[in-house]
Order: sequence, then C-alpha cells, then structure tokens
Amino acid sequence: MARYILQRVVLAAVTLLVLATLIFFLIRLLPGDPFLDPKVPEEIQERQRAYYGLDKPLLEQYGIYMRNLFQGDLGYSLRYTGRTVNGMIAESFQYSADLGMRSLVFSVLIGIGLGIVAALKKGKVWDHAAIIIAVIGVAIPSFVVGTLLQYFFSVKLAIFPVAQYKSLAHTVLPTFALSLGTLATLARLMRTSMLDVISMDYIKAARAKGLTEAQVTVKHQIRNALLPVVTVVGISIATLLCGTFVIENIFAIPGLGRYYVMGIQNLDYPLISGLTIVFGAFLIAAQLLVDILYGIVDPRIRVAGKRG
Amino acid sequence: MQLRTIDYSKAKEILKIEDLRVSFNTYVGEVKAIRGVDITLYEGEILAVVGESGCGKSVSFQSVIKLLDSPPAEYKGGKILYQGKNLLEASKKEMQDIRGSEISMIMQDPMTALDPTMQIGNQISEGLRRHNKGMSKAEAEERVVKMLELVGIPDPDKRLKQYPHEFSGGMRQRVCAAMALVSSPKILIADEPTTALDVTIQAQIMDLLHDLRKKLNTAIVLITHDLGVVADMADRIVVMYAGKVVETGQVEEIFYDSWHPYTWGLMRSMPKLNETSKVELATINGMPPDLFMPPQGCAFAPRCEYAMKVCYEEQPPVFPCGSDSHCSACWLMDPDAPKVKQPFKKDGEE
Repeated sequence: MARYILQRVVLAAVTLLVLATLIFFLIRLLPGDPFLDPKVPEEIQERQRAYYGLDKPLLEQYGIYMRNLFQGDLGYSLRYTGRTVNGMIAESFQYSADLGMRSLVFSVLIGIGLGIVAALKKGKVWDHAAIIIAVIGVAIPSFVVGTLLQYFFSVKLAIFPVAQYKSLAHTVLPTFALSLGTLATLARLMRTSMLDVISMDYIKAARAKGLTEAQVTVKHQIRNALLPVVTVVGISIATLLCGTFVIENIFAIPGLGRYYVMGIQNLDYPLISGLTIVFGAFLIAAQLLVDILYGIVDPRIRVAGKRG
Repeated sequence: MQLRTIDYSKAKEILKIEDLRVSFNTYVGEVKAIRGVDITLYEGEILAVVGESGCGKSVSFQSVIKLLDSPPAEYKGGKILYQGKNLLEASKKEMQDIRGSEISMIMQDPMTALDPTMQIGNQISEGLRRHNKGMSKAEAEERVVKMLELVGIPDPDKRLKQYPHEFSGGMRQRVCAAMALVSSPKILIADEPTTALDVTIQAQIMDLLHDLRKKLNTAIVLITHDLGVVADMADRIVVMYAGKVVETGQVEEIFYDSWHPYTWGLMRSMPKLNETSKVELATINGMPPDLFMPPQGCAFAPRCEYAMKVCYEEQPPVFPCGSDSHCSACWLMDPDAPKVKQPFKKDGEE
C-alpha cells in the first residue's frame, strides 16, 4: 500500500507539471493580451508589458515562471495591482474549501442516505420522493437552483441572507445549491446499487444464517452497495469544484472560483495559471484519497495493491 | 453397495412437509410452482431431492426456511412441521431464530454465496454469535477455527482472516458448509451444492457432506438434478416433477425397484460408462407442463409412453410400493392397470 501511494504521488507531481505547462501556453493562445486597451497610449502599454516581463520571448517567460513555481511563487496578479497570486489564494481558499467540504459532506451523507431509504422502501412514498428529488437535482443546473433559492428563501421569506459568506446562516443556501446535483446523482446510484445487491446470493446466505433484516442491511447490503458509489464520489469532487465557480459568483462569496472567473475575463495570466495549479493539485489529492478509501472498502483492491 | 446407516423402523421424523402449495404471482399470472408436496425428513438421514429444473425442488425447501421473496412467492396452503410447529405460521422473529441454528442452507454457487467485503471468519461467526448472545469474540473464533478444520481447510487460524476472493471454488464451498453448520443445526439444506464446481471438486464436497453427517448427525437434504451424485450418498430419494412428488423411496428401491415412468426416464438419461460415444444419450421426450395452467391429470402423462386415459383425467393417488418407505404416484400401480415390466428391476436389466 505504501508503495502504491508513493507511485501515485510521483504520478501526481508529473501530472501537475504537465498541467502547469499546458495552462501556461494555452491562456496565451487567447486573443489579445492583458494590457491591450484602446484608451491607454501605446507606450504605456509597452511599459506595463515590460514591467511584468511579457515582452520577453515566450520560452524565456516559461522558464522564469517554472523556476518561480518550483520555489512556490505563483507571481503577481496583473490586474489587482501589487497583489501576489499566492496572497490572493491564501486569502480566498478558506471560503472555497469551506463551501466545498460542506457541500461534499452534505451531498454524500444525504445522497447515500436517501438512496438507502429509497431502496429499503422500494415502491413506497419515500422511494418516489427520492426519485423526484434525484430527477430535479440532475435536471436543474446549480445556478438556477441558486437563484431560485435566493429568491424564495432570502427575498420572499427572508429566512437566510441573500449573499456573502459570513455566518452559518450564510452558508446554508450556497451549500444546498452546490450539493443538489451531486446529492441527486449519489442517491440514484446508491438506490440502484442497493437493489442490485439485495438479489445477490450472499444476502440470501446471510438471511439463512438467521441474521435479522437490520443486520443483513447494515453488515452486508449497504457495505457492498457502497463500492460503486465510492468511485463516483471521486468524480463528484470535481463536479463540486467546478460548481463553486458559478455558486460563488451568485452568492458573492470571496472564494477562488470568483477570482478564477474574473481572472479569465481580465486575461490575468499568473492568476489563471496559479488557480489552475491549485485546483489541479486539490483534485488529484482528492482522487488519491478516494482510491485509498476504495481500498479500505473493497478488500479485493487492497490485496491486489499489496502484490503489485 | 455400502451399508445404510439409517434404520427406518426406528428413525424419528424431524421435518414433515404436508400438502405444501406455493405459487408465484407474476405479471402474466400465477405460477403454481408447488402443487401439494408431502415430504418427510428423518433425523440424521441424507435425503436426496431430484428432478429437472423448475420441478419445485429448490422452492419446496426454500419454503422450509421461508427464504423465498414474498411477493412474488405466496404460500397457498399446507403445513411445514418442524418439531411439531408449523413454520408457515411462525413469526419473522421465530423464523430468524430457527434459521442457521436449527435449519441451515448451503447455496448453489459458492462464488456468489459469500460476501466479498467480509473476512470469512466473521462471516462464519456472525451467525454463531447471533444465535448465542453471550458468546465472546474469542470463543466464537475458537469455534470457527474448529469448524474450518472440520470442513478440511488447512491453516484455519490464518485463513479465517482472509476474504472470499482468496479462496478457490471448492474451498469456498467448504467455507459455506462451515458457515451453515457452525451453530450445529439439525437440518442442512444443500441446494445443488456441487453444480457450480468441477467434477473432482464435486466428489470432494460430496465426501465432505457425507463425512459431516456422520460427525454431526445433521439431517441433510440434498437437492440435485444428478442421480449419479445421489447414488452412493443418499439414504432416501424423493423424485419430483412439475411441483409434485412422484416417487419416494430408499436408494435401492429407487434405483432397482422404481415404479414411476418418470423415474425410469431419469435413470435412462444417465450417461453410462460402458456405452461407446456413438450411443446417443437417452432423453425424456417432450417438455414439462406449463405451470400457469397445470394439467388436470398426471403432469407427466403427455410425455409418458405408458399413459392411459385415466392419466389425463385424474391426478394419480400415492400408491405404496411394497415397503413402508417406498411409494409412487402413478396410475400403473392401480390394481386395475395393465401389468408393466419394470425396466430397472434389480435381477433384470440394469
């Protein structure tokens, strides 16, 4: 297992390197440049480019960027004058991480729980309710959900604050809006998985041992049903991350996602590169975590890892 | 022929299925899978239940521990008496107490009968600890090790920490046997325990079951469609066809003195070692009846070369065939029926 994790970490480092290189060149393929502005005189634009080193040959810029990157320096923002990308990430990461974790925990717990209840009460009211939630969650994009939630719960009913991220009450609506899609996917998957497992022979064998229905469900059915769901949780982390871009804008949360969107609008090269690398690192770490988790849930993977 | 260990004049009944009727309610209608089955099981015997696929042999005994999903299964009538108690009327809780500790079951396919995410030691002990509430973990483990030894698994104290995928098919079936027998049940239902295994392993598992019966004195119900497997293992045989018992008897009586044409058909379709490859395997012509609409008379009549008019019109009663243990549900046994020569009579052709 240790060897497997080491392998994965090395692979993750290589992936990040490729990611940094790709994003460096790709954003420079976008038309225009950060300082192109018809209202600003040519020579001032030139001076700005020279100041940020954008007048140097592309490969040299790349060399400088990578050297700084290895020292953990993501450079200066081109638009937010005088601010480092490191500083901006450090300041906004907590909001995104907080929202992301809340949403992940909420969608995993409620989604899987809902799936279990739906499967156990198959064909009854709870099952239908879960399916309706699942369909709604999958079909309606998070920005629509977010806007509707704001309208009803903040504007009309005034239960929760409309925007910003300052107290627990502020977190409720964005968390819900961000989680709904993932929650729905997980619920649907868990329900199907539970129903697949219930017809397996080992469930019958467990009943033949005289176990109570509760014991069969908890010890055998849920555990086995979780296997395919764990894989999807890994993918859900990516979905949630992307979701933050939109949700943070709707709820005016000063997180990474908002900077990302603005960075692209302003062609703020270092900011986009820096955020991409941070998001990438985060996603890779999450995937690694899920893989390790999968090994814990499914003994077959664990043993294969030991031998490999 | 080996000596039978059971003396049926003294044997005690342990399970009695009386006129059991089970149906499955499907979208297209009611399948009458079990249409009045009577089977008696004696203490410590090995009873083989044979018949082709869909004849109701599995359903009958899954009914005994009520493992059929209901719906679609529905118990339409009859009784299943275990120690004087009708299991069909037992509560859920009572059934859970009986399963595993009094009546156990081995599934057909050992590859799917074990939970892939649980160590086999825990799978075996969870039933044990469910039935022995005060039992400590260490005590349970000790018993599991003993059980694994008994079913012939080497290194039991190491193996019990392993997962099912680390065992071969034959070994898994041994684990299943250990799992079923760990609480010393009085009855073990083995539902085609060797069908999913290859031939050499089949023989090993059969030997194991035979051996366990001697050691534990558990009555074994061996559900199978392979008469060959049954021959040197069972004490008695129940032959089923289309949801009914057609013939019952001790092994010798079925193999050398059988009276039902369906049993004859089964015997004929057994491959013989002395036949050359050019001889085509004998089959029973026709198809089993549609159990959506079971026939009015004998279900086997359309496929039976001896069928008479009465066979199509009326269900044959159960006729005794010479001994207390042997009976056949066939009109040929009626005193008025024409005399037919039994094809598998011991001192005739075999």
